[in-house]
Amino acid sequence: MDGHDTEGSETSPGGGGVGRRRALRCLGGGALAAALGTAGCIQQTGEGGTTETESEGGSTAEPTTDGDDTGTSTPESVTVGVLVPTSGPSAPLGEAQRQGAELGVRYVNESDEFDFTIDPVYEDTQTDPSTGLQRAQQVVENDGATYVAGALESSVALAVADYVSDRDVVYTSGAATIELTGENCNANTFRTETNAAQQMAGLVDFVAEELGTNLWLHTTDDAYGNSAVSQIERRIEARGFDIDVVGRTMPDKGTTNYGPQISGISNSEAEVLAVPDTGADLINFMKQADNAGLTDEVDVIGTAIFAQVSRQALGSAAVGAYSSTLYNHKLETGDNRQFVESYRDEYEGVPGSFARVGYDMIRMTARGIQEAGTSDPTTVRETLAGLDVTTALGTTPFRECDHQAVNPVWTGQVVEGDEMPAVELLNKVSGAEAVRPCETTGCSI
Amino acid sequence: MVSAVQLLDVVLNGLTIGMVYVLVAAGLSVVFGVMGVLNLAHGELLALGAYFAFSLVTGFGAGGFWLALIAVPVLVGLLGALTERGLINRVYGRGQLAQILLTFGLLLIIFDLKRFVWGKSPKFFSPPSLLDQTVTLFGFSYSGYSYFIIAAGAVLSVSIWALLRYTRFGLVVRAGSEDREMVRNLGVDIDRYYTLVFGFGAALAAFGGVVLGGYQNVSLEMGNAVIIPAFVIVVLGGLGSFRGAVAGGLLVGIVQSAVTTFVPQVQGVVVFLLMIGVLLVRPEGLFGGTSERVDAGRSEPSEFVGGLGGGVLSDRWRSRVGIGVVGVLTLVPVFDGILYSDFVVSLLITVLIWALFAMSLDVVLGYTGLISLGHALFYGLGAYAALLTLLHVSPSAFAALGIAVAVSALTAWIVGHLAIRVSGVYFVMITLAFAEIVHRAVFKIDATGGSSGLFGAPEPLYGFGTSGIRFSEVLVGVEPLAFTGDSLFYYFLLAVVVGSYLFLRRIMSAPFGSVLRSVRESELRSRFIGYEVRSVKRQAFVISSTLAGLSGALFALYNGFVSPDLMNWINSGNAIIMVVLGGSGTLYGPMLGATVFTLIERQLSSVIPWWRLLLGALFVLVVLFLPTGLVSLPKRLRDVRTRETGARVGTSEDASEVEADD
Repeated sequence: MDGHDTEGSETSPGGGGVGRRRALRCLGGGALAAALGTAGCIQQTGEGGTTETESEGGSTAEPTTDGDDTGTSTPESVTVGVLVPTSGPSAPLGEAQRQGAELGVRYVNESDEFDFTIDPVYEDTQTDPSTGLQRAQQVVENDGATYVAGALESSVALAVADYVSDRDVVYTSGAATIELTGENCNANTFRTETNAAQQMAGLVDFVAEELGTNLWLHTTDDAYGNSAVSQIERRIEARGFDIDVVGRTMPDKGTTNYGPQISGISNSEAEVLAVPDTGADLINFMKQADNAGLTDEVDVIGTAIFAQVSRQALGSAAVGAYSSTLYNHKLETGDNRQFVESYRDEYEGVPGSFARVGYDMIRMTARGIQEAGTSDPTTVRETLAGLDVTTALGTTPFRECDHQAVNPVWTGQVVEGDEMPAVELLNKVSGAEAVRPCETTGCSI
Repeated sequence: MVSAVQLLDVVLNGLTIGMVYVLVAAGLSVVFGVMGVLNLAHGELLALGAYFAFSLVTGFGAGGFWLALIAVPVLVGLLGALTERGLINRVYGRGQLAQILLTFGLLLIIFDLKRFVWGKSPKFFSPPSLLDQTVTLFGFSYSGYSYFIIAAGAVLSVSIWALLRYTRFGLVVRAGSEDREMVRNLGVDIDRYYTLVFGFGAALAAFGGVVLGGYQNVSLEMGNAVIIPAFVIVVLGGLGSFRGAVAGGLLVGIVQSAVTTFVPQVQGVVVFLLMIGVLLVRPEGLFGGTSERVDAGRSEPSEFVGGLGGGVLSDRWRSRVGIGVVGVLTLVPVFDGILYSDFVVSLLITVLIWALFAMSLDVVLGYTGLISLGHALFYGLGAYAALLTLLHVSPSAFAALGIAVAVSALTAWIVGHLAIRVSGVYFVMITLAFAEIVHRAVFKIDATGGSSGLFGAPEPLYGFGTSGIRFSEVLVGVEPLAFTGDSLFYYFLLAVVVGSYLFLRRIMSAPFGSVLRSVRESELRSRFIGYEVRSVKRQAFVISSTLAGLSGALFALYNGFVSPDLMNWINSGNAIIMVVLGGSGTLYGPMLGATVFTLIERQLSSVIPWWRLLLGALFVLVVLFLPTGLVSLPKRLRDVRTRETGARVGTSEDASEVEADD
C-alpha cells in the first residue's frame, strides 16, 4: 500500500493542498463527533489501512509526511472496533470480554513484537442484533475501523459476520454459535472462541469414558442449545460411543421455573445429566435442581459450569458437577501465565474464559497484521488463515477451512474452594481431536 | 400413562410459579381496578424488592431473608406511595397513553438506578438453610423452598382477602373498582386512598421480588420477564378483581406446568392462546365485574386514550416545514464523506425505517384510538417475508416488498377480524397475544432460522427478472453528485417514506379519515349514524399493519438479515412511545418521536451509560408539560411567552391543555 492520503489527494492535487476538503471533512467529522459524542477524527483511506489525522485536524502545519516510510511497512496505528455487550442480558459476560480486550490492546501497544499500535473503539451491542449491526456500521463507516472484534450472542455475531462478508473488514469473533464457522462462514470472519462443537467433544468423550450410558440432555431452546444438542448426538454417533440419550428438555430462554423439567429428569432412568447451557438460564436451573435434590440423583456435566460467574453464583450447589472447561487461570499453556499476571495487576482476581477470549481475539488479529506487514484486510485475512499463533491456550491457529481457532478442551470437576468453588482439571482433549473435521462443517471459504 | 407422582409434581410445580404470578398480578390488578392506571413499572418494583432483599441477605446473613420479607415490602411500598403523590396523581383522567408514557419513563429510571447501585452482574442470594433443602413427605421428595413459596403466597392471599373483605380500606377499594364516581359522590375522599392503594400494590410486588429472588437470580432483566405474564393474568382473571388475579395466577401456573410436562412444544404460546380464547368468549375475564367500566373497553376510545388528535401546525405551515425537512434530508448524501462520515447515511436509514413504523401505528392509535401492542408482529413479518423471498424466490427487491406487503395485509386482516371485537385494554392485550404467538413460533420453525434468524440474503435487485440495478454496482449522477450503495438506498427509502406519508395524509383528509376520527370521538354515535364501525376499524388496522410490514421489509432489504428480536414486544412498546412522545394523530409527530427516540437509544447510549435515565426523564417531562407531544413544543413556548407578557389570549388554548394545566 502507498501513502495514506489517497482520497484527499484525489480532490486536491498539489502538495500543499491537503487543505480545504480534507480539513473540512475533519472539522465536520469533529463537529459531528462532538454532537454524537464520538471522539477524534479518524478516517479510512482508499486502499485500506487507517490513520488518525488529529494532527491535521488541529491547526498547526506539523509536517506529517508519513509518506516517507512507504513500501509494505505496517501503518503506525490500526483502528479496531471492539463490539461487546455491556448492557442487556449478556452484559456481565461482555464486561469480562471487554476487560480482556483492553488488556489485549495494551499488550500489543506496549510490546516490541508489533510495529504498530492499536487504536480501539469500544461499542456496546446491547445484546441485540440490530444494535450490534448498527454499531458495526458505526465503527467501520464513522471511525474507519477495518478490523472488528467481539460479540458474544449468536445472533449479534451472525449479523456482524454478515455485514463484514462483502466488505474489506476482518472480524474476529468471540461467540460460540456453530454456524459462524459452519454454514454461515465467510472469508472475513475468524473465531477465537471455542465453538459449540469443540465444547461438546470434551463433554461427550468424558461421559463415555467416566460417567455412564443413560444420558439426559437439558438446555435452552436457542441457537447455542440447539447446536449443542445436535453436536452431542453427532459426536456420539461419529465415535460409536455406547451412550443412550434417554430424554431431553429444552425450555424457552428466560424460564423462571424449572420444576417440570426437574421432575421429568428425576422420574426418568437417566444416570447422567448433560447441561450444555449458559448464563442465567444455567444458573437458575442448577440452583433449582440442587434445591430439589436432583444433583444427588444423577451426575451433572455442563459446558459453562466451570465459568467464574457460574461458580460464584451457584456456590456449593455447583460442587461435584463436571464441566467441559475452555479455560482455567492455572493452565501452563502458551503465554497464559503472563496473561494471568497482567490481569491480576489490573483488575484483582483471576481472569475467566470470556476475558481470555477478549484478550486473544485482539492479539490474534494483531499477529496477523504484523505477519502480513500491512493493515490491508485482504492480505491480513489470507495471512491469518493457518498462521501459527501463540495464545493463552498454546498454539491455536485459525484453521484454513473454516477460520476456527483450534483450541483444546479440558474436563474439570467443581470442588470446594476458598472464596468460591474451584475447578480441578481431570483430562484434556487436544485441539485437533476436539475440532470438527473440515468436511463436516458445511463451510466453504 | 400419568402416574400419581407425576400429577402431584405437575400441581406443585404449577402452584409454585403460580403463587409468584399471584403476588405480581394482584398488585397490578388492584391498582388498575381502583385507579385505572396500567402500571408498566410494576415489574421494576418487583425487581427492586429482589435487589433490596439481596442487600439485606448479604448484610445480615440468613436472618436478613426473614427481615427482608417484612422490611422490603414496607420500604418499596413507601417508595410507591411517594411516586404516586409526586407524579402519578398528575395524570389521572388523562387517558391511558399519558399513563403508559409516564410509567414507562419510571420503568427506565428505576432500571438505571438499580444499575447504578447494584451493577450489571446478576446477583444471587440463598434462602435460609431451613428452606434451602429437599423435603421428603410420605416418600415423595420435593424442593423445600417451593413449599415455602406456596405457603407464603397462600397466607398472604388469605390476609389480603380478609383485608379487602373486612376493613374500611378494603370496602373503599372494592367500591372504587366497581364505580369510582359513585364512591366520590358518597363523600369518600377516594383520591387519598389512591396513594395507599398504589403503595399497597408496590409492596405486594416487592414481596414477590423477595420470594422470587431466593428462587432464581436477581438481575436487571427480571422486571421485564414478569410484567408480560402479569398483564396476561390480570386480563384473564378480570381487571381489578383480586379474586381473579389469584385464580388467574394459579391457573396460568398449573396450565404452564402441565403443558411443559406433557406437550413441551407449545409451552411458550399456551398462555397467550388461553388469553385470546378467554377474551373472545368472555372479554371481562373470568372474574371480571359486569359493570360498565370505562377502562374495560366498553366506553368511547377517546376516553380510554385521551389527549389525542389535532395537528398543531396549520396546513400551510405543515407543507412548508415538510418540504423544508425533505429538502434537507435530500441533501444529506451529497455532503456525505465531506462534512461527515458515511455513517450518517446509515444512521438516517435506521431513523427513517423507524419513522415509517411509528407513523403506521399512528393510523390506529392516533386516528382511531386503538392501542396496539402487537405492531412489532407486522414489522417482523414484513422483514421475514422480504428476506425469505430474497433467499428462496427471487432476488428482486420489488418482489420482496410486494410479497411482504401482501403477507402483512393478509395477516392483519385475519388478526384484525378477531382483535377488533374487543377494545380498550383488551385490544392492547389481544394484539400482544397474537404478536407473542408468532414471535415464539419463529423461534421454533426451522424455515425462519430459529433463534439466530436468517442471514446471507443476496444483494437485492431493483427491477424484475434479469433487468434491474443493484445499488452497490451502479453509480447514478455525475461527480460531485454521484451516488451509489447506501446513498441510493437512502433515496429509495426517503421516497417510500414521503410517499407513504402523502398517501396517509390523503386518506385522513378523505371521508374515510373523518369516519375514523368520529369513531375515535364517539363509537356509539358513529354507529347510530349508520357506519359499520368494526369494518372501518378493521380497514384502519389493515392499512396501518401493512405499512408496518413495509417498514420491516425495508429493514430486511437494507440489512440483509432478520432475527426474532424484531418481533419482541419491546419494539411494539417503543413504537407506542414514539407516537406519544412526538404527538399522536398528526402523522409527522410520530416521525419526530421516532427520530428523537432512535437517536437517543442508538447514539447517545454509546456515550452516556445512563441514557435510560435520561430517556425516562424526558418521557416524564413530556407527560407533565407537553401533553400533546413534542410537536406542541413551539406552541407551548409561545403560550408561555404570551402569558409572561400578560397578553394572554384565552381563545387559543385548546381543551386538552386546559385540562393539563388544571
